[in-house]
This record gives sequence, C-alpha cells and structure tokens, in this order.
Amino acid sequence: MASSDEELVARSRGGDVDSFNQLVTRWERPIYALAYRVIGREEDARDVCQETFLRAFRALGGFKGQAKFSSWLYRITLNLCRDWIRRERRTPIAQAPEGVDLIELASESAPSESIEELVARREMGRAIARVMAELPDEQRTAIILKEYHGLTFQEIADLLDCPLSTVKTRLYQGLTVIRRQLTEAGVNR
Amino acid sequence: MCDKELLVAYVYDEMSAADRMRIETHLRECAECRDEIKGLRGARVQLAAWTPPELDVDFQIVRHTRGRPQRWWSPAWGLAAAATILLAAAAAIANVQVRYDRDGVTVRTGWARDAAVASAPAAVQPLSASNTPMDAQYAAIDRRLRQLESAPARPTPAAAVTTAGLSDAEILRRVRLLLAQSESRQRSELAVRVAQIMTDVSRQRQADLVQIANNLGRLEGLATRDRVQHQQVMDAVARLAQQR
Repeated sequence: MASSDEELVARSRGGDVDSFNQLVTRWERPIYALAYRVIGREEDARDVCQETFLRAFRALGGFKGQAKFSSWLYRITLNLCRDWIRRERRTPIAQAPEGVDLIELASESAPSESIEELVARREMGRAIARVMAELPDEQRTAIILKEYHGLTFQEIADLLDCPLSTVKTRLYQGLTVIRRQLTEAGVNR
Repeated sequence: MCDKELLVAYVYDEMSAADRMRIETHLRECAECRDEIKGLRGARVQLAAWTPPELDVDFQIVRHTRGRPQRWWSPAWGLAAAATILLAAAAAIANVQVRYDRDGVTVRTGWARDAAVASAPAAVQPLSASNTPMDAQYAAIDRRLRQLESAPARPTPAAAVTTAGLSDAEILRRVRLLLAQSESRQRSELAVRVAQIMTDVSRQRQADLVQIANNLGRLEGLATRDRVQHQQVMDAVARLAQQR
C-alpha cells in the first residue's frame, strides 16, 4: 500500500531522502504541467519543476503541514512562474510548432483515434494555448488550477490569496473570453 | 440575468443543494442563462484538448557527503599504520636511562615492566649475565608493543629493568621484524581488496552487457514500430489523396 503524502513528508523531515524522492515521482508531472501551462515553454517549465522540488526539499523543515503538501508545492511553483514571467518581462508563450509532423502525430495517436482526428485535436490544443496565453495572469492561473488540477474554489482562493468570489469571477471571465475567441478563430465546435 | 458566480459554481458543480435548486429553477425560465451555461460548458470541453508535452525530467534528490570520499587504499592508511608502529617502538625505547655502578649496567626503559617493578638492587643484573630465553623476551616485546598500539597516548611509567641481554641492535632488529610482519599483513589485505574489486568490476561489466543488450532490443522494437507507423501514415495520406 502506497504511503500518503503526509507520511512521506514526515519521513522526509526525518532525513529520509528516498521518501522525498517518492513525493517527487508522485508530483513531478502535475507540477511540470502547471508550470508549462502557466509559462508556456517546455524547457523553462522543466527548470521550474526541478527548482520547485529543490526548494521544497530545502524548506521541508519549515513545512508544518497546515496545508496539503500538494498545495504547498503549487504555491512554490506559482511563485517561481511569477518570477520567471517578471524576469523575462513577457507574457507566456503559446509554444506551438508551425509544421505538423505526421510521423510524430501518428506515434501519439490512441489506437481508436484516426490521423484526421488527431490533427484536429492538436489544432484545438494549439488554439487553446494561444487563447490562454492572451488571458490576464490571474484568470489564466485560476482556470489552470481549476480545470487541470481540480482544486476547489477555496483552495484556489487560498493559493492566490484572494476572496472566494474573486476566484469565481476570474473563472467566469476567463471561460467567457476563451469561448468567444475560439468562436472568432473558427475552431469552436 | 443570473449571478455570474452562481453560474460558475453550477458549471463546476461546486455549490450547496439549496443554491443548486435555486439556479435550476431560474434556468427553466431564463433562456439567456441556459445559453451562458451551455457556452461555459463548451469552453471547458475544449480546454481538455490542451495537453502539455511529455515530461522526461525524472530527477531525484541525491544527498552528497561532504569532502572527498574515503578510499580504503589511501596511502594515508599505510602511513598511519607504519607511524603507529614506529611510535610504539619509539615509546618502547624512550626514557632509556643507562647507569653503571658496582652492580653492573642498569637500563631504565618503558617496557618489560614486570621485571622493573622489583627495582631493588637485587633485581638489577649485570648486562652480561642474561639467562632469559629469547622466545620469552620476544613474547614480552610483542605484548608490550601491542599494549602500546592499543593505547599509544597513555603515558607509561618508566621502570627499572635489566638489559637482560637486549642490545640496541637487538631491539632494532626486532622492531624491523615487527615492521616486516606488519607490511606482510598489509600486502595480504591489499591482495584481498584487489581481488574483491576485480570481482565487482566483472559483475558490473556483466550487468552493463545485459543492459546494452536490452537497449538494443528495445531500439529494434522502436524501429519496427516506426516503420509500421510510417506505413500507416502513408496509407492515410494516400487515402486522403484519393478522396480529393
């Protein structure tokens, strides 16, 4: 039976590096996905992901468990993303290659998915990435945390240090912009 | 128009039962809010198409020890052992006091305490009058050196002892003998360690060969899969061309 985050954190705080590495294995994909969607660059998202775990490891002694371990990681990641955006002085980039590599696409397709469906899905993904990159930071972050990480309104409010009603407003505004822009781009279905 | 926050809460199904009943009642009467809900849900469905690239980070936290790792075969180890023996020998011949009187020559030294405790003149024997067997003397030296090796820092009280036929040359000879024995032990240990390393290297080499063989097999499998996928793509392109 797999240990809970709390158990692994307790053992990590006692100096057990293997336990912390289990946490890394468990959370590296969600953290990477969060960083990628917020800043939009694969390489930088990988760096942010790695830095998140390094900082968490160093600061583990100060983590008292008031919040969930995952929430703590999300907070570190979002802070690093914010620093990255500030440092780069630019908005997130919708990283999407111009050419479509059919061979690469074919290797990604599910057995039940045709090449045509796969191309359409990739096109939609690129369109979403472009629209998300144009959203204000606070709306984009709220949508990412809600849609892709399943956080509750309250958890998002705690992470972003804003009222619950603000979270709902940002989600409403963000979803409305996405819907409108996708319709204008002709990719709404 | 409905409260936007309530609409969002309804879309994400994160609201109280009372609020849900309230908004559902409203939606039955309000076409504009029904469209709004439909649009928000549609946007959510489309968001699912945005997937991040595959992650190939796979990093782990590794705790490094400070400083350079200790090697069992470090020259310092052998030097320390030699130094210990030399210190023991030096300690054994330290506090040497030579006195010559009518009772003969008396040597006071740090070892052979048993004979020295009885420091009365009766215990003092002439230098040339030694009757002690060589084996017993050697055993006494060996015991004393081992004591000194085990507790080199503790000062040993000097004691009077007869020379018992042990000249400086004899002492040096025995020290050299002990050093030779120590070197022999070190050589034996070195041989054992080298054999152990050779075994480890051989085992690692075998493991590497197995790993290489596995990777080659995997690469062959990937190449086959790529050929199949390439063919599938070509077929798809051909179909599309025919349809057009």
